[in-house]
Amino acid sequence: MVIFWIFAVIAMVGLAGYAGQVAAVIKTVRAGSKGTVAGTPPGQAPEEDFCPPISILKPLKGLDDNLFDNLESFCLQDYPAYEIIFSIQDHDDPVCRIVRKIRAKYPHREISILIEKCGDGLNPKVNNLIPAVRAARYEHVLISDSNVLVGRDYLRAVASPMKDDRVGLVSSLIRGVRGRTLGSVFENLHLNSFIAGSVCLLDRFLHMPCVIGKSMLMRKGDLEEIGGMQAVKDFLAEDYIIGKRMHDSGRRVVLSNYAISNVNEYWGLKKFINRHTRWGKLRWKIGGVKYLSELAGNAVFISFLPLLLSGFSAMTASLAIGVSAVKMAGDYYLGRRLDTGMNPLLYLFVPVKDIVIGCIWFVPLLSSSVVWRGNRYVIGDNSLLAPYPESGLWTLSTRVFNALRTREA
Amino acid sequence: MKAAFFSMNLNNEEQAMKCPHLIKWMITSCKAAGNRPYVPSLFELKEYCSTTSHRKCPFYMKDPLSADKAVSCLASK
Repeated sequence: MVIFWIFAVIAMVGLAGYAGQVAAVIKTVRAGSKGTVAGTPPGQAPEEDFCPPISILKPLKGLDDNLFDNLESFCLQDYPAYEIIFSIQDHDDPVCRIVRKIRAKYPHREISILIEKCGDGLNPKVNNLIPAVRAARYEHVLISDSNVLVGRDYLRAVASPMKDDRVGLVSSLIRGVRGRTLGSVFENLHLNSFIAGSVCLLDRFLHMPCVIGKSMLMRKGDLEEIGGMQAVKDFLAEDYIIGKRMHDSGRRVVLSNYAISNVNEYWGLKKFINRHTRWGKLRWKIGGVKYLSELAGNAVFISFLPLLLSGFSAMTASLAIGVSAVKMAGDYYLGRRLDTGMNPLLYLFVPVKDIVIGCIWFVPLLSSSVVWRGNRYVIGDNSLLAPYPESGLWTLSTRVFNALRTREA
Repeated sequence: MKAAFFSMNLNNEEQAMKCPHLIKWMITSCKAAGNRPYVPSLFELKEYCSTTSHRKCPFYMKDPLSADKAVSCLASK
């Protein structure tokens, strides 16, 4: 009985935190409907006609879902002057062939394909970005991931806050769209609830910069002042570090209310688990004790624990079902507000997804190594990467496992 | 296996028009893109995969078996 009440209280606290996330998302989205930009002081009109030339940097590796349409959406911007730099590390990467099709379709656009192997750092995305930043012709650079789909007015919306010289970085609200497999449905549900909610909560109520690298607009000069891409080449969470350093240098970090779509269509469950294990590890290394609050914030997972520990009863089942119902309703509401276009029946997966996320939560406490884009690293403080040690029993077992897997393949 | 099944079901005219790397099975995908099946966009399907222009597709040209045909096609133009 005591166990039940302890977990019931924690679940209620988690739901209260979740309500805060929902409120933060609504506040951010409403700011848009009134024609203001998130981060713009109340009463100050947004500047819609500020359109500096922008260099869009696209670090690419491999074939993401919906890649052609994602990249094409950047060629269709209603914006006076901009260039697109597709940055690729390897000539044999199949993405080269997609960008050639894009360039053939839009010959009038300023599109550059930059294929340059850069091994300066341990973060492969930053390695891909270093030559791109160098090649950028314009003062304003927009770093944008390959799995992002945007509307025609995206550049105008994100460029608008940069009119204020005090603004150093503009990031965007993210929504997950178009899930067709279980892994991608889980990913989209998580992006639209926990990730969007947390980013908005930190920005709106706690005034802490929380930048997600899917869309970052900066001035080249400001980026160079905080050390450039070279300064973050060994960090896993390079986006967070850039945002934090920009904030520490006295510049404002703004979350634009323009929701960009992160297209996840054919993800497997393994990819979902791998990504959130990796993100969990970096939040544990960056946030420390604050990471513990994420477990309490996962009300669904907490509400199912009494069922596991005390056995099935009317009370334990009611708690789990009640909390799950509230969470599903909340996520459905958030999905509607973010205009994700998800099938309402898919929200029935919310409790399962939250239980999976609750199980993943424990992994960062036990392991600090990550595999990202085929490379294995150990994460240190502030997500600083170090090469995975090449000695010891762990490495031997990994090598044996990899050798067996390669032979099977 | 699936590709073989579908290629058997296509008539001769369709075989001549469509890219041999295109797999139509619930979701239309391309098997020339690499290890992972690639889902072409509507533009790619219309511009390359479903027409004789598939020989100009960078994926088709990369494939060693079709590269010779692609080169001869471009040379004839």
